[in-house]
Amino acid sequence: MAAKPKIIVVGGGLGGLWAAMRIAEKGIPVDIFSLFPVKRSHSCCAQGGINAVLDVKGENDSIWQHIVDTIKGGDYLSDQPPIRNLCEEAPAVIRTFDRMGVTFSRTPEGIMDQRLFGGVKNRRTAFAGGTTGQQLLYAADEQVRAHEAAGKVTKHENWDFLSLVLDDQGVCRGITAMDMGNMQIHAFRADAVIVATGGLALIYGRSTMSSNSTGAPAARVYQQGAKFANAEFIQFHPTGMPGHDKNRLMSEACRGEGGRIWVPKKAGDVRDPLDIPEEERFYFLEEWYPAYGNTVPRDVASRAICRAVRHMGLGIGGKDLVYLDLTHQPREFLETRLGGILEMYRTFFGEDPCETPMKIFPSTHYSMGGIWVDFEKDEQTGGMARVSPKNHATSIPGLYACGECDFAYHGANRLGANSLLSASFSGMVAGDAAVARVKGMGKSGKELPESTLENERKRQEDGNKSIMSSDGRENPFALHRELGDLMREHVFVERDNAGIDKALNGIGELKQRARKVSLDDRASWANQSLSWARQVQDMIMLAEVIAKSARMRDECRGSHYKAEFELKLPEGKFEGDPEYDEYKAKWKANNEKWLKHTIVTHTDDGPRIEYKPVDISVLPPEKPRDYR
Amino acid sequence: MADAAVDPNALGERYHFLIRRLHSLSGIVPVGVFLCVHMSVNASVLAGPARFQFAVDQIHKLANLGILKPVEVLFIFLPIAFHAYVGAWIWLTGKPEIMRYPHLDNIRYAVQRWTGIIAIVFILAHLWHVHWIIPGGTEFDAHAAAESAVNAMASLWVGPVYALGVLCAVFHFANGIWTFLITWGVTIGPGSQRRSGWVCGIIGVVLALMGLAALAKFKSMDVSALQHPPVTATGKVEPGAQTTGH
Amino acid sequence: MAEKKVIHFKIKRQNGPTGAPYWEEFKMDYAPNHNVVSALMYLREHPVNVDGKKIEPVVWDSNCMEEVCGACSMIINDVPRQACAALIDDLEQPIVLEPLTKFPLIRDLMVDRQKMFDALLKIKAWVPMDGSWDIHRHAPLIAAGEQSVRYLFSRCMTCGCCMEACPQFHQDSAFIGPAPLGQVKMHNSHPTGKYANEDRLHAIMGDGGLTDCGNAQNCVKVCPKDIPLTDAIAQLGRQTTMQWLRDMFVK
Ligand SMILES: Cc1cc2nc3c(=O)[nH]c(=O)nc-3n(C[C@H](O)[C@H](O)[C@H](O)COP(=O)(O)OP(=O)(O)OC[C@H]3O[C@@H](n4cnc5c(N)ncnc54)[C@H](O)[C@@H]3O)c2cc1C
Ligand code: HEM
Ligand code: HEM
Ligand code: SF4
Ligand code: F3S
Ligand code: FES
Repeated sequence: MAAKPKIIVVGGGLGGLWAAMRIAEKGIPVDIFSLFPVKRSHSCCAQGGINAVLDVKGENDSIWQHIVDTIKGGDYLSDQPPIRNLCEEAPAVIRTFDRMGVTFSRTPEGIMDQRLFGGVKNRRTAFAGGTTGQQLLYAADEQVRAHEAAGKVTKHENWDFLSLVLDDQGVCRGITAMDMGNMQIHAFRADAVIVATGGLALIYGRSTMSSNSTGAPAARVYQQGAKFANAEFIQFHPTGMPGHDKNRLMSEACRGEGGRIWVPKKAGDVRDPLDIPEEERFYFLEEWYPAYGNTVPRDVASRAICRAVRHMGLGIGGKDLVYLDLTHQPREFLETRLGGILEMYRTFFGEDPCETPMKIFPSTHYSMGGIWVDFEKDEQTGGMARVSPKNHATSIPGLYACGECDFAYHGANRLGANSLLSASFSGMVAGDAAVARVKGMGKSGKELPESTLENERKRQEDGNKSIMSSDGRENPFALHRELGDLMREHVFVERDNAGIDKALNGIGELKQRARKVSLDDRASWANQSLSWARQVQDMIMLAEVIAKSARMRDECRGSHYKAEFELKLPEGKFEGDPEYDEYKAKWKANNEKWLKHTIVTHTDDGPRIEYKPVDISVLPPEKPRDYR
Repeated sequence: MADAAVDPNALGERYHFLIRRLHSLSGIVPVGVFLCVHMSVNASVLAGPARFQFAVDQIHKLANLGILKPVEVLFIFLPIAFHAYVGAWIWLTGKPEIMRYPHLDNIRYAVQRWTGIIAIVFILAHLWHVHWIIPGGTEFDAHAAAESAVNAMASLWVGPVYALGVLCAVFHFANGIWTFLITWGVTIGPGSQRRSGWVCGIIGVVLALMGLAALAKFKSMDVSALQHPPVTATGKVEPGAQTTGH
Repeated sequence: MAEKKVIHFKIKRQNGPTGAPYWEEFKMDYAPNHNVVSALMYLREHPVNVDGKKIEPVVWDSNCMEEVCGACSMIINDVPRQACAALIDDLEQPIVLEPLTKFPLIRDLMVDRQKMFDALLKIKAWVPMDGSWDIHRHAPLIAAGEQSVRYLFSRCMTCGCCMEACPQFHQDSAFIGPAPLGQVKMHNSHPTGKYANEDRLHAIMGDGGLTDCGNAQNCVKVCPKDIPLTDAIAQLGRQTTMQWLRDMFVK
C-alpha cells in the first residue's frame, strides 16, 4: 500500500458526495470523478421529498413503521438488517441536512414540515418546495466544497470512468478514466474505490431520468467481476409525459386531485380529445377498479395503462399514450392545488392542462437492482454493524458501491421518497466502510507496480482506438434508440417469457452490431460520440443482465410482473376462509422458491445467474401483502 | 480549487472596496451637489442678471476670504478628477450589449457610461471656455457675471454643445442617484427601486429644465444693455438695484 | 401549406478553443413538442447539414432535461437560456444557436463554466459545520418566511445565464458575477451560516467583488429561475458597507 492512503469516489450525486464527505472528515484524501460537474448530477431531478420519521404531525409515526413500510413495499426482497439502520438513522440524516442549510419547507413554528407520500399512512416526507433532490444535492455539494477548500477533496469533473485497475489478486487498486476534453486516458491509484454512479434507466431509451443515467459505469465494474443483483426490478412510473428526449415525470398528485385517465373507445381515433363525447371515452381505471378508480397504486395503474394500449390497441392515435384529464376541474382549484406541476407541463409541452387533457404513458423511473453489496450484521441489534469494511463492499475487494447503482434497501419495489434517503445513507455507510478498510490495511499491502496501471490504461486506449478506427456502419445513437425500443417493448411493465426471449435475441444482435460502430465524429477533442459509443456497448451488456434476470424469475413480485405466474388474492375472502388459506399457502410456497436475490456474474458466454437467500431476520414474511 | 483564494494583502484587494465606495459617494457629494448648486446659480439668471450676480457673489465671497481657489480645487476639481478617473476605468471594465439585451435598465447602464464620458469632455471644454480664452470664449468675470457669461455663450457652437453637456451631466447625476441608492443598499426590492426611479427622474427633469432654460436665457439676453449693479460693502446687492434697459 | 414543415437551425460551431467559428445550417422534419435539446439529439443521430453533407455531430451539454441541472445553457435567438426548456413551437425560425460567450469555449455549443464553481469556493458558499455526524439536536429553527426567501436563491443551478447577460462579467473581467453574489446573500441569511458572514463579505470586497456590479440588471431578467439577484446585490451593498465600517472602527 502506498504511504498515504487515498480513496477514489466515482460519481458525485447524493451518494458519492456523502461518501466523499465522510472520508474527508476522517482526514483521508479523496478524489471524486464525475462525467460532468457534480452539481449537475441526476439527484437534482428528485422533486418529491425524503423520508424520515420525525413525527411532527402528531400521528404517532414510528421508526418501526418506517421499517415495516420499506420492507413490505419492497415485497420482502431486501436484506433487512441494513433497512433497520436506514430507517433508524434517517432522522439523523435529515437533521444533518438541516444543519447544512437545506431550505426545507417549514411549519409556521419554523420546524421542518412533512407531507404524505405514496405507499404510507403517515406524513413522513420532508421536502424543500418542489425541488428536494436539488436542495439536498447542493447542500452535500457545498460541504464537499468546504473540504475541497481545505485541500482534502480533489474533483475531476468531466472525466468518464472507464474501468477498475485490479491487481493480480483481483483487488481493486485504482481506476482508469478519460478526460472528456482531450480524450486522454489516465490511470489513478487508490486504496479503495467507491462507485456511486446512479441509475440505469437510459437502457430503456427515454425515461424519467437524466440523459446521462446510462448505468454504463455499473456495467463496467460488472464486466470486471462485480456481481449484479436483482436487475429485473425496475420501477415504472405510470404518469410520465413522453417526449422526444425524455419522459418527464407528471406527479401522482394529478390523479389525487381528480385526474381521470381515459382513451377513446374507438381504436385510432384521431379527433381532438375535447371533441370526443363522454360516451365515446373509455375510463378504464374507473371501470376496472371501481373501488379506487384513478387512484389505484402505481404498479396497478401502469399495468392497466399497458393493457389498454398494448393489448386492446386503444392508445391515442395508435401510439403509446393515454389521456390524463383534469379539464373537468375548475382552473382556480387546479392552480392552487397543482400549480407548479401544471406549470411544468406547460413549460415542456406548451399546452395548458387546464384546457387540454395531458398525454401520458408509464415510464422507466428507477432501478431497485444494481451492484451487489454486502453488509456486516450486528447480532446484538439485528441491524447492520455500523463501522465495518464489509458494508457496501462489492464482490471485488476494495470496491464499494452506494446510491442508486447498488441493489440494497428497496427490494422488489421502492417506496416513494426513500431513495434520496438511501442514496445519502448508503454514501455515508460506504464512505465509513472504505475508511475502515483503508485504515485496517496498515502498511501490509504491497506497492502496485506501475505496469499494472499502464496495462489497464493501454487496454482502455486500445478500446478507444478500435472504436475510432472502426469503419462499420452502425450509428451509436441509433443503436441506443433501438435498444430502448426493444426493452420498452418486451421487458417493460408487463412481461412474458416469449417476449423476453425476443428481447434477448435482439440484445444479442445489438451486441454484435455495437462492435461495428462508425463514428461521424473522429475528432480527438471533446468527442461525445466516442464516449457515447462506449456507453452504448455497456448499456447493451446491462440490458442483457436485466432481460436474463427477468426471464429467469417466474413469479410476480414488486415491479416484476408476469401475468402467467400471478397469484390472485381471492376476492372478498379473508383470513380463516379456506380459499384464502389456500392462497396463503401458495404464497408461502412461492416465497420458499423465489424470495431470493438474483445474483448475476459476468462470463464470456453472457450473464450467469444464481440465487442467494435474503436476510429476513427483522420482519419475516408471514402474511401476504393486502391493501384491501 | 484552492488557488482561487486571493491574497488579501494585494493593493487592489485592500483598497478596491474603498475606492469604489468613494467613487460612488463622490458622484453625489461633492460632485452632484456642485451640479445642483451650479444649475441653481445659473438658473437664477431667469430672475434677472442681478439675481444671477447676487448668486455668483455669494460664491465669490470665498474669494474675498482668499479660499475660493482651494475650495474649488478641493471640493470641485479634485473630486471630479477622481470620479472621472475611476469612472473611466470602470467604463473600460464593462462590455454593454444593448442590442442583445434591450432592457431599460441595461440601456440606462450603458447611457450612464456614455454620459459620464461626454460629461467629462464637456467639462474640460467648458472650463477652457469660461476660464481661459479659446476661440469664442471669454474669461469669466465674476464681477460682471451675467455680462461675461452672456458674452461667453454668444458663439454659435455653445448652444448645442452646452445643451448636450447639461443633458448628459444631468442624466448621469439623476441615474447616479438611483444606482447610488442600490449601491449603498437603501433601495433593495424591485418595488422600492421603481419608486426611487420616479423620484430620480423628477430630480433629473427639474435640473435639466433649469440648465436648459438658463442656457436659453444667456443666449437670448442682450448684453449691451447690462451694467454692473452696485455692490454694497458687505457684498449684498442693493435692493431695487435692478438693472434696466436704456 | 404545400411545403413540408421543417425545423431550421443555424448553429455557430467551433471545433475547439483555438478553432475558427463558423455557421452551419440544419433542417429536420417538424414534429410537435420538440425542444432545442431533443432536436439536437435528432441531429446528432442524423448529422447532415442543409447542403446534404455529412458532418461531425454538434457538441453540447445537457443532462436533466427539466431545467434543474443547469447544463444546457446556450444563446437561443439572442437570449441566453436553457435549451431543454426552449420549445421549438415557441421559437422564431431559423433558430439561431450560439454558445455562451463569456466562458471559455470547449467545442461547438459547449463551454467551460469552471469559473462559477471556483467562485463558490472563493465566497465560501457553505454553512460551516463541524462534521456530518449526528449531534442529536435540531438545527436552529427558521421562520417559514425566511425559508421561502432563502429557497428562491437555493434554486440557483449555476447555469451561467445571468453571467452571460451581465455586461460587467466577461472573459477579461475580474468580476465574480451575479450568481455567486446570490449565494453569498443566501448563506449569510442562515442562522448558523451567518457565523461566516465576515469571510464571505471579505471575499466579495476585493478586486472583482460586489462593487464591480454596475446595476445593469440583465442578470435578474434572464435568470430562468427568476432568482432575485438584484435584491441580493443591494442587500450585500449594505452588508459590505457595514463590514467595512466594522473593519475600520471596531477592529
Ligand atoms: C424524476 C425523478 C424524481 C425522483 N424523485 C425522488 C423523490 O422525490 N424522492 C426520492 O427519494 N427519490 C427520488 N428519485 C430517485 C432519486 O433521485 C435517485 O435515486 C437518487 O438521486 C440517485 O442518487 P445517486 O447519488 O445514486 O446518483 P446520481 O445523482 O444519478 O449521480 C450519479 C453520478 O455518477 C456520475 N457518473 C455517471 N456516469 C459516470 C461515468 N461514466 N464516469 C464518471 N462519473 C459518472 C455522474 O456524474 C453523477 O455525478 C427520483 C428520480 C427521478 C428520475
Ligand atoms: C447651462 C449651462 C452652463 C452654464 C451657462 C455654465 C456657466 C458657467 C460659468 C459662467 C462658470 C464660471 C463660474 C465661476 O468661475 O465662478 C462655470 C464654471 C463651471 N462649470 Fe459651468 N455652466 C453650465 C453647465 C455646466 C455643467 C453641466 C457642468 C458639469 C458638471 C458645469 C461645470 C462647471 C465647472 C466644474 C465649473 C468650474 C467651477 C469653478 O471654477 O469653481 N457647468 N460654468
Ligand atoms: C466626468 C466624467 C464622469 C465619468 C467618466 C463618470 C463615470 C461614472 C460611472 C462609470 C459610474 C457608474 C459607477 C458604477 O456603476 O459603479 C458613475 C456613477 C455616478 N456618477 Fe459619474 N462620471 C462622471 C462624472 C460625473 C459627474 C459630473 C457627476 C455629478 C454630476 C457624476 C455623478 C455620479 C453619480 C451620482 C454616480 C452614482 C454612483 C453609484 O452608483 O453609486 N458623475 N459615474
Ligand atoms: S442565478 Fe439564475 S441565471 Fe444565474 S446561474 Fe443561477 S439559475 Fe442561472
Ligand atoms: S447584470 Fe451585472 S452589472 Fe450587476 S445588476 Fe446584474 S450583476
Ligand atoms: S438539461 Fe438540465 S437544465 Fe437543461
